[in-house]
Amino acid sequence: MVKAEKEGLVDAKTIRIVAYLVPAIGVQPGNPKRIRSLADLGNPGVKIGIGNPEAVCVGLYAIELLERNGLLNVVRKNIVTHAPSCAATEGLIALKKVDAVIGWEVFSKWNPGKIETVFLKPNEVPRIAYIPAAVSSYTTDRASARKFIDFLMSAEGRKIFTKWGYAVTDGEIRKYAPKAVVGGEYALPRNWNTP
Amino acid sequence: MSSRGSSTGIAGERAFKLATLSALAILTLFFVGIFVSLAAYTDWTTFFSILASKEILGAIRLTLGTATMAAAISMILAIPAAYALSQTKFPGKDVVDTILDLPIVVSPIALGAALLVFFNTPVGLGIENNLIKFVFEVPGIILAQFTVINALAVRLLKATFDGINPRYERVGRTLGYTKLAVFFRITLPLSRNGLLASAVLTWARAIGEFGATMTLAGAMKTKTETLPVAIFLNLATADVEKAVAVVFVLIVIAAGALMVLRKMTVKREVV
Repeated sequence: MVKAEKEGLVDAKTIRIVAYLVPAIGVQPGNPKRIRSLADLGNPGVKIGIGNPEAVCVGLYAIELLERNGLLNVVRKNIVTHAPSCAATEGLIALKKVDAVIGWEVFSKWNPGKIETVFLKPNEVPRIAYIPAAVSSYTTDRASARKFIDFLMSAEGRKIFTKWGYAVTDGEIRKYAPKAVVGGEYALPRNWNTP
Repeated sequence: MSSRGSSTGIAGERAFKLATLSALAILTLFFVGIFVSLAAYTDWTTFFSILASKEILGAIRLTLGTATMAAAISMILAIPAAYALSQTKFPGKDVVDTILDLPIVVSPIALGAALLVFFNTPVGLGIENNLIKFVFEVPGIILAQFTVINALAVRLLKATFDGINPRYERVGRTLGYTKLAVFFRITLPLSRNGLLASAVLTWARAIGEFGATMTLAGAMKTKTETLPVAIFLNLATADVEKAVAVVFVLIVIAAGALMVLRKMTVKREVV
């Protein structure tokens, strides 16, 4: 959304935060590979999946997380594939194709029983993500667009997000990472994909 | 009545010719239009620098290597299988025929999903853990391509073997050739055009394979990035120029393969 605002693709005055996302590790039910921390992702023989860092936000967050914690070079050799979307990243665990993914905490609520969340240490999380909404600059029906965003932000809209496991307030997500930045931008290091 | 018949006959013939030629022209223009619009979109200096990039050169190498492997394995299995299907009668032949035809009509992504699920079964896991890793690895690309193209190879080769007059083989037998010698010295040489056509077409189809490859081998940049996967990845990051450059590479390879095929098979007909 920061990029969209910069490039004038959305009406900046209409930007609202609908829900917050905190990065976490997703593992197979029962955590058979005993992954307890970010560093465990570098253990020999652990198969890791992440979103495609160049195209999927959760993949970009994964690289930032690893880089900030000095684990990028150790964990990279265990990354066996890149998923084309957030849902596909979660699917890697649901389909039992990898031992762990770096995803969102909310993944475990999408497919209960098929994925378990391993929370990161609060100081390991550099950034909290969010799901924003805004009126597109190309809209042909501004009134309806605004109405939809108003609905997302209404008590009724928030109830739907809460029902499906999303944190809708800054406070709820803060407990996982009190010092993390909310939103903003991270530039992928040039050599992220090469040792 | 006969003169009226012949006059409407001539008019009808013209109308028929016009209709068929129009359809041909529309189809040709459709594809020429697509290629021209691609060419118009391309900035040729960036095109060549993209082509020379490590990512795209790697994708070309990976694609040619995996497709050649997949086509070779397909041909080695499809030649005897198609021969058996063409020349042998056995109970349940229709069922076998249908099963082998399925991959032609089933969507490649469905085949990829089926393979992905297969590798969750005890047998599949045994193969993954003890023999070769396919899921998210380069052998998975070859397996995905093979799964999609082998039906095409069997189909083309069966048609070829069906077209061979069995008298040649019988004459070979009466002159003292063994069944094996007949196959290698009479049947295969007579099938030269069909063999070439199925080899080239299955190879070219393997190069373009995307759905099964993406599902089984994943789409990881520089690791399982074949040319079609490169198009997908670059469209996902809105790098349209790079995607278009790869589209051109695929078109050039396909056109080259078809031209080689035409040349090699026409020669034989002239002789």
